Amino acid sequence: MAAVKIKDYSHGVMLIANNLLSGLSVYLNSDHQWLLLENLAQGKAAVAYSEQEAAELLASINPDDFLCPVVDPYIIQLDGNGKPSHSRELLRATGPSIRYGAQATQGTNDVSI
Amino acid sequence: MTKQLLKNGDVIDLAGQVSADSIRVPAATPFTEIQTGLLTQELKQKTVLLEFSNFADGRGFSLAKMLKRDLPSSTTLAATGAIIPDQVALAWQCGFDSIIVSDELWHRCGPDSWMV
Amino acid sequence: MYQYNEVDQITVDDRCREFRDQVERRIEGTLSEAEFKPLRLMNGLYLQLHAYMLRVAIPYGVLNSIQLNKLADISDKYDRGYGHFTTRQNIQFNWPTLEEVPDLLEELATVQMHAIQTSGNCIRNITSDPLAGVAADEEVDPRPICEWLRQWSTLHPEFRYLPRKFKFAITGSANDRAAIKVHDIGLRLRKGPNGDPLIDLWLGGGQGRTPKIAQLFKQGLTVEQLLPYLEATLRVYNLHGRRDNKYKARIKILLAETGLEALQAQVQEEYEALDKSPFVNSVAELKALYPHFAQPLVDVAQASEIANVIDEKLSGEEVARWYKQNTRDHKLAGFRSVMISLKPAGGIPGDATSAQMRALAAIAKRFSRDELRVTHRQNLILPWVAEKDLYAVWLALREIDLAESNIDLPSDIIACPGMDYCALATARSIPVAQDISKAIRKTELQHDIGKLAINISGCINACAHHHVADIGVLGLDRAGVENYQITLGGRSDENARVGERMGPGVSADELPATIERVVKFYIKERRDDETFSLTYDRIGKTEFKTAVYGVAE
Repeated sequence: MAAVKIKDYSHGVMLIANNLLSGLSVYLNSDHQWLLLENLAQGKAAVAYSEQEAAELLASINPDDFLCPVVDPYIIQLDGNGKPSHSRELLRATGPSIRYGAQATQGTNDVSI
Repeated sequence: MTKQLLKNGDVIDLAGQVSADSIRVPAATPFTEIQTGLLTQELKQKTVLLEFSNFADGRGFSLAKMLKRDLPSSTTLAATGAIIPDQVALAWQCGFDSIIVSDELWHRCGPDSWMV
Repeated sequence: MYQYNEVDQITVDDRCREFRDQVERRIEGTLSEAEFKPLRLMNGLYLQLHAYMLRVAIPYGVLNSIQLNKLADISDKYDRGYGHFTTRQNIQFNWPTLEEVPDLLEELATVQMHAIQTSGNCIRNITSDPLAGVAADEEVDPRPICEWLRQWSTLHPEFRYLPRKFKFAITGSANDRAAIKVHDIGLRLRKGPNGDPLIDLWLGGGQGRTPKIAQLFKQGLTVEQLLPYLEATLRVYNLHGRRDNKYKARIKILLAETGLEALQAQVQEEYEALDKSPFVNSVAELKALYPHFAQPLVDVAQASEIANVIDEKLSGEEVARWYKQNTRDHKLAGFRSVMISLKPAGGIPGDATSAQMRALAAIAKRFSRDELRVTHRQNLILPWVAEKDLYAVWLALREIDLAESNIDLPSDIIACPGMDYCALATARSIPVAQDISKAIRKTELQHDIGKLAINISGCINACAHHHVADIGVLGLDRAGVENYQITLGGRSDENARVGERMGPGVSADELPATIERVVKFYIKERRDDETFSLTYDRIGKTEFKTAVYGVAE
């Protein structure tokens, strides 16, 4: 389910997916391991700089193999800081933008009707 | 080799071809077309193989219900093509008499998973 | 409420085992993702932006305290301590793992719950009036028919691989609180001559990218006719619904492309041809369900005596406002239904923490005959509260921050999970809902505004029903930037209609002020208690459009 067509390879592209078992968002690192996308800043992604390199990267993980450890892998574009350039993929990398669960309403009850 | 699953749980190895007096009908065929073609007298005694093109396409289940209503009881209605083990029970409930499974599907899904 | 019989329990237990086997086969690699996906979807399991999401069915929105306690336990054990109630009267968990879902489903089965057919191209969870069986204006209690259809549609062998999903909604009141006209099939139950209901079948409603209001397809079906007629309708749809384009695969498109009369004729022909013998016992089965939904025995004299006593404790300003806004007239004298808003200031529409769930379960057990309801506006209801207990209930709800008196008011916003969770979303819904809610709370006394529906969907699929809101908001992606399109004048009730789209969308930053201008314009222009849609009709699109863009203020 590729979200956006890659228009610009100048900052590189990387591969993200969901882990089959946990469902969590992951990215492919330069050692060919799938790591949690939320820890992208601490790691080094496998980056491709052309359409052909990107296709090779995708093929290298055998996405059609039933034993592939990830689901829905696709290529995303990076910005100059090595972060996903599209807001959707950035959200995947940073997690929900709202406070949820027990934290949801803490400190926000300042406004009342 | 191809396997034939029967409603009573039996599995028959079909060496090569399915019986010669059978007719193959894609499960995407409109019922009215089947009615005008298939249900004519010369085909009545044969095995009807309803072929699923895609396991996510459930037209074959409705067609089975309608065909069973119109076919003589001597005709066998079989499901074939893209069927997965998880659909075997549905096929029996919709009136199929047997299911023909390709060797490739039989082995890939695992023989045990076909035994419902 | 309905209690499972042996067959129901065996069915659900079997299904848990079957899904555990399917998960194992997927992990071992004998099932491909393409094959596994429809199987997991039929068990309510999606793969979302950050994780798997499990949607648990709450049939026609009815829950007891044991079930809600279990949902609380599950949200602690398999999720991150909260759950999200949806516009389909279900609950979603956002962080389960694939490996643990079989255990989770087994736990659900112990309290007569499951996730069967909460997704996939099959008949989905049947929704209904959240005040079913308790509303003062009700003609026919829809719950027995809901349960009957739940049993008929659950694991129906013929209709599990339909062209697309299929949604039923059922109401037994002239005031439609179940939005039946925006469902694939909507059933309106009326009083029949011999005590059994007569059923009007509305077909082909839906939202998404091609919103349609349902058409009256068959009037006055008897209970004897209903199941075979539905079977014929679904069979015609299964065979003729489009499979070449998923955006044209719903029955609303089949209806539009075939024409009302032609489709009615096809269904009628199949109805006449189909074998009725499987249905010979079905009406007896329906009648056997009635005792599950019998009205509780109440001492009428005592109840009306209680009803006539004005409870002094309810006269305080805050509690009086809550009584007016959050409680509803009841079928039984001496009782009221209490609506619980899941839209507190700063909260996430429809979310409840595990602690809130446990507290609500205890309140329901003590004060509401052990029963709760989920509404399609993402709120909860205590359907059986005696008037004498209202003050105690209010105090208990206040304790867990769930006594906000904003039911049906502008801050009672419907919002889908949006891009914060959903893989399909094109924009975020929750933060903009929070911003709009905040803006409205600041500038106006919402109690003076009155009833106003603001619904926010994060993509064209319209899970938050934006097409049928007074003010609908649709979040889109414009070159990587979130952009929000405004729709005005929609309705989801018995006079359902699709709202009109204004001009170009606005940014997330501009959105709260935009909504505020529309609301202020409505307040300025309305006559007496005129509703938003009536004011909109009288004044017209052009004027409201000016308000949206704030040109001539």
